[in-house]
Amino acid sequence: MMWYLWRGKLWMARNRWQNQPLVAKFFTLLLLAGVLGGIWGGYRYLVGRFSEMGAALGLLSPLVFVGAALPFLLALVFESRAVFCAFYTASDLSLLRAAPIPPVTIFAVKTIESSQLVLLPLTLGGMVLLAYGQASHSGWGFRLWALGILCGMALVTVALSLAVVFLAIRFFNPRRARGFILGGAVLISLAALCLWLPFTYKSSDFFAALFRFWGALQSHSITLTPGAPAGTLMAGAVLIGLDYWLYRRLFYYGWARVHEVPIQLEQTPKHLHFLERWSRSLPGLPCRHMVAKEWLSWARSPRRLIYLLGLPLNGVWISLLYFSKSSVLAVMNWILFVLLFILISLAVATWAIDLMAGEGRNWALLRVMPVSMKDVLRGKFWGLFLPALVSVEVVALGVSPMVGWSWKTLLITFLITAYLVLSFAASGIAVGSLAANVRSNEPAQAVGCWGLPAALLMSLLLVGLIVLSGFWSFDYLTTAERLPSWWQGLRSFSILNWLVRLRLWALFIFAGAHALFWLLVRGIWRAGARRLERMEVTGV
Amino acid sequence: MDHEAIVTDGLKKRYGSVTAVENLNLTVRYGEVFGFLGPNGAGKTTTIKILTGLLRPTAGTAIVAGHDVSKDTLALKKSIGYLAENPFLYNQLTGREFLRFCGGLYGLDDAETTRRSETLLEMLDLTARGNDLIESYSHGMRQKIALVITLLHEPVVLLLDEPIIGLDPRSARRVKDLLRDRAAGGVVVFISTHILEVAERICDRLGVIHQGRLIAVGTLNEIREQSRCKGSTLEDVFLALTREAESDHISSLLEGGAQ
Repeated sequence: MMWYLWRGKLWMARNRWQNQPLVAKFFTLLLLAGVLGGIWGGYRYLVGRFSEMGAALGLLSPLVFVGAALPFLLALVFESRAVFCAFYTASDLSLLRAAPIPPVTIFAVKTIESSQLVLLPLTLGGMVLLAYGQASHSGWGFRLWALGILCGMALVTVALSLAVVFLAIRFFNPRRARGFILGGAVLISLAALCLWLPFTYKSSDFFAALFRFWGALQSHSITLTPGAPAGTLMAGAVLIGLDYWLYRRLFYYGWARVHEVPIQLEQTPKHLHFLERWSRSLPGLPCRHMVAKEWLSWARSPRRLIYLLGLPLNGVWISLLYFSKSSVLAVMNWILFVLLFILISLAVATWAIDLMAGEGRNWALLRVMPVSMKDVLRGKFWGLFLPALVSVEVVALGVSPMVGWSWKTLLITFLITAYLVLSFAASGIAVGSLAANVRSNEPAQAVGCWGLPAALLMSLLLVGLIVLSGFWSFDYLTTAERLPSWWQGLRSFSILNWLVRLRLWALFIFAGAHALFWLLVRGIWRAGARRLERMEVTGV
Repeated sequence: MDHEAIVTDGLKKRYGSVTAVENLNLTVRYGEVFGFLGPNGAGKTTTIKILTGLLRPTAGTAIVAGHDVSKDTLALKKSIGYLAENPFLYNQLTGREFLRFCGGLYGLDDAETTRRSETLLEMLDLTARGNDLIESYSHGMRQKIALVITLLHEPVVLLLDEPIIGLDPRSARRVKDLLRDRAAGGVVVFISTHILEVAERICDRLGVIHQGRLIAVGTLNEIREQSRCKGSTLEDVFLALTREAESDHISSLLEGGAQ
């Protein structure tokens, strides 16, 4: 039975690949090569860094293991969301539930389907641990040991997510449970922020605290006992068994609750109509009705509200990064600064694609309306850009008096974040217009599978460009005596060294690269609008 | 008792404070085509979903093909064929691939699935399009392929939610003939529909549900008598019955208000 279910998925993947245009196939392969190359490059880099440590490497071992385990904690939050979607809202459930498939098969298939997310921490953790093993000349025993531990942690992560979702749907109102699960990401982020805040500002000895933690870990020696991976795997297996028990007892009730048609449809809260009025009064905005529709969707959809809450958190993080006077902390801040740019790019590009994918077959409806697709795309852009921008800037404004920013710092923060949100929204909408699938009512399928990776790739290219600009500006504007000692290490990277040597000429490089980015966005945007104007809406 | 394919006893379904189905007592026998009629939101789809085991009843019991819908779900699903109002289809599969996929889920091997599906595809004029992706299908073709899946494993109970919607006249005629043919072979066909012509033409017995309550059940003549519309068309009978139930409801509301 399992084979029959997977066979269908394999056929779909094959058909999807065969029906992709050549350019999309090339892009997908390029992305795959990039990911594999990144993993290999990261592995080689870590092996190099670990090898340089020599005898001190042993001291690092506890931290390496903690570092490899932490991504699973983050995966737990997003895994819960994946479990909810796979078990309760996936559209193929109506077919699977009506067919005579044993419950254990549906449970297994949906568990595997929802556990794809743990592949990321599994890959990252594996990369770190294998690099550590390579650098410390550990044998195959260590590699098997590490693999066992990681697989065990992945199993435990999936099992905990299943349990949380089954229980949440059983004991809470499904709508609330959905919000609760989606809001989990925000709560975890908030908790992380609260933990981070005292380290950075309330006390100046972040690293002292870190070393104490390190010391505490050292007192617990880590040995390669075979019991550790066996125990973790066993715990994961037992938890999965318990999940199946929960599934048999709770799933049917919960699934029926989620799928019961709410006859008393929720009334639109009257206070939300102000959004519609605002959008109508916006002067000169093209396709104001599209903007109104998008804004109302932001306000009504719990999923999109979570998106909006996520960005302010990123805004807080960004604002916190400006602070430290300590040179050691400054390293951390530079790293986090880059990470947060990446986070914003991931968030906004994903929202943009989501906005385009959400239309599905409605594109056919929009096509027959007397409205140009360029206006529709502009409406989508403003529908995304303004809420995303407001959510970032409001928080930056709120944080500013708390941490005593000068007006210059605040202005720079405003400008950088506004530029980021603007760029990511524009490139995301542009790519989405090319990838939008006009035949599907399934949001997940309503953009080609290359849409999101392409949008993310463009955003990350821009992040790279901005990071390079930041490095060059700091280097150029700061006198050699005031540059921190670790700065020279950064300069050893050939591209950074080349930029520094260019002096003011680098400005032309940056300006040219930004211009090229915007020309690319403009080209894709126009091609996307043209595609939507001319598409043949068949099979709808 | 052995001839009873569907038996519901005091079946009730509530969504929060709203009652979708109230005290439904119904018996449908093997070899019968039963038409389930009612206005929009009357509780037809909810009833069918309960009979397939997709929704749990708030109270009462339902036995389909000898299986309790709340308990013996796996055996129940092997015995029934369910066509949803908006059936789910994998757009990225071709028609034939989807049929093989579903055949596997119902325990048929590929050879048997192919044999059965080719016959059904031919009956419904889909043979030539069987190797096209489902996403390229028209609404009617999607409906037909979903119907083929419903019939593929030769179930003894067919639960069909609006099976004729979107079909061209030739296909609609073929489907009606096919359903009558299956009923002649002993299969029970339970059809929920708005198309009164279909109900009048192929159904042996009819049930009219309004605001969750079964307000009439029987052959067309029996229902005509119940509605005091002798010699009228089913449309007149249906309108009279639902109007009567509506006015009863309004009277009870007015009485409640007066008290």
